[in-house]
Amino acid sequence: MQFVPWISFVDVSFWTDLAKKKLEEYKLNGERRKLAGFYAVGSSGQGIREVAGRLCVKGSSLDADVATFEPPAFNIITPGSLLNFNTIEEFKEADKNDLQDTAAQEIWNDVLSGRAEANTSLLNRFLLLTHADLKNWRFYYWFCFPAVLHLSAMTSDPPAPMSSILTTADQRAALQQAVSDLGRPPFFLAMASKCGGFVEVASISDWNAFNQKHGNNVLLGFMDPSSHAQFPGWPLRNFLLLAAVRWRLTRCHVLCYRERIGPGGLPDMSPSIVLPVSVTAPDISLSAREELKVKGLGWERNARGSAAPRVMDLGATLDPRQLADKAV
Amino acid sequence: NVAEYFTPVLGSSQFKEKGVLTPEEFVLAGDLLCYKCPTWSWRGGDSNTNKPYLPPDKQYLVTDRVPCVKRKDALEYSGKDERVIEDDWLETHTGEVSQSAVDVPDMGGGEGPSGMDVEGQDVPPPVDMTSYIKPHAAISNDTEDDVPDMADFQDADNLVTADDHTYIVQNEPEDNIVRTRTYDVSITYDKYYQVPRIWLFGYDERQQPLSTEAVFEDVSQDHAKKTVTMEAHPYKGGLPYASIHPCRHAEAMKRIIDNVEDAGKQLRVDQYLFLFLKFMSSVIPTIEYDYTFGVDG
Repeated sequence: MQFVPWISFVDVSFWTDLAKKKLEEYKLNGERRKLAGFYAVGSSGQGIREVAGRLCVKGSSLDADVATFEPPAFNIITPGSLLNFNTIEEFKEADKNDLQDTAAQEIWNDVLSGRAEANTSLLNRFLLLTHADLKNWRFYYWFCFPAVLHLSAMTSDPPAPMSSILTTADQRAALQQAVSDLGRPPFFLAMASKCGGFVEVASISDWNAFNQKHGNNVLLGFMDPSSHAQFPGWPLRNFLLLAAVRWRLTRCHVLCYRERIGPGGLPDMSPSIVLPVSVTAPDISLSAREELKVKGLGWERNARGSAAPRVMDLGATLDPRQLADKAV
Repeated sequence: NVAEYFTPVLGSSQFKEKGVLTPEEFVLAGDLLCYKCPTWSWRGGDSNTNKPYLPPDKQYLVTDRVPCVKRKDALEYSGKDERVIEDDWLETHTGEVSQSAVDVPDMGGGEGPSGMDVEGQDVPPPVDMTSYIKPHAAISNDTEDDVPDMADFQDADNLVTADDHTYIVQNEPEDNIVRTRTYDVSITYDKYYQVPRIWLFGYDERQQPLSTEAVFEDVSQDHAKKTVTMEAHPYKGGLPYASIHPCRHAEAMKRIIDNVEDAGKQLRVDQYLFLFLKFMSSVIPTIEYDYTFGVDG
């Protein structure tokens, strides 16, 4: 089974605010800081061209609490942490494998403890390493979108269009409304009556009741940043792990919830797809699981596809020297 | 009825006579835009930038990361820039070099992913972007020396980055995601000209800010460098934004309003921004922000 990795996006206001905070507030303090990221679901189809939902941070993301952060319309909040390094050497020497494994371990622990069901955005945690070269207005950065590795075998059949399960426009509208009423959580449960008409959604934390009520008709829904015709986005990885470990699911249908901006700027969930998935949970005892050291995965590749950081060069935009040169 | 709710008491309004707006009318029109097109939202500035004639929480309108897929030149795409690259992939727009792509120092040790197995078919390796790289003109030599050599990043060799069976790598030129520029678009109220004013901040496919030259690629030739200029955004602390100078806006809006009325439709002042965005789309034809619809009386 394959997944489309996250694409990061850093608003220029993030760098201007980071520069300011580094000088006035953080100074040499390199401790881990809270970040509030956000993403839109993927879109595809007519009208506007395909655009994948990217994981974004902006100036107000710095030190922001996800509980109070206000994302742009229709975006989903996701919690992150920032490690800003004072020197490029520290940035380079940070143990990337260790950071990624530690992040994956946190997710694994949250899955086992049930915390991830109460707060599903924990499954979408991310890490951002930065180094601000303020002399030259260059910002080095590297995102990690940790996924717990090699704990379950996942396979999927080719996806079906959403209309194969939600057969009528009324059902689709009802589902879209219900997801919206639920507060557009990153992961949710859904059920559509086969006879048409009836649609129900619920929070992940209501799994037991929802599963008892609807059994095999339960859909695992997630806000899918991918716009790929066949493959789901990265957040599904940790969600399937949770479903396999906590609920012992082996076969399920996943609703990859996607939207395009329809007439009047309103979202329309018709690009969504349904993915039949098989998962095999790790066959280990509970106590062994709790002591398990898991491996992680998820450093973003740079624009060239290499396992290396990215750099944002704002010299031409912000460096007073360069601006003065150009203004002559 | 939403329309009634937003319909203003027209006092000293001159929008039909002159194509201009009062600050109150700008707020009404902005409210309707946000209501009908929720991708737009109001922003407040801070106490240093806020204008007293507008409510503190309704200083300007924004919509972020609006896709801009085609360059203006590509709207008259001729095919002359195509060349066939290996494995019969057609590379288009080979003559088109994104100005800001050159801003990226070499970060990798050339350790790009090789063909990943997708659905049993080999995906061609990524296009070698080095042929696109031109020497960086904007950074002077003394700063060039300071760029750390990221090629000695040891992680590139030993970092676990993928269990390659599960990792889809989207390569150029097959997917248009990486070809998509995005723009942050905002609309402020220009007190002097009494009209809305549009501001653009662009990012290239690699998410680097677009240079002035690159932004002009997305602007109609009739307007680039004449009515479109780079200026400090009034609410964004000195960041240079591309802006369309508002000196002719009232005139143009008056013409558009007259045309709509000649066609027998009644216009309300709160519909002003819909017409304004249609007018702007002639100046910036490639930016797909116009999710709005016809003004239906």
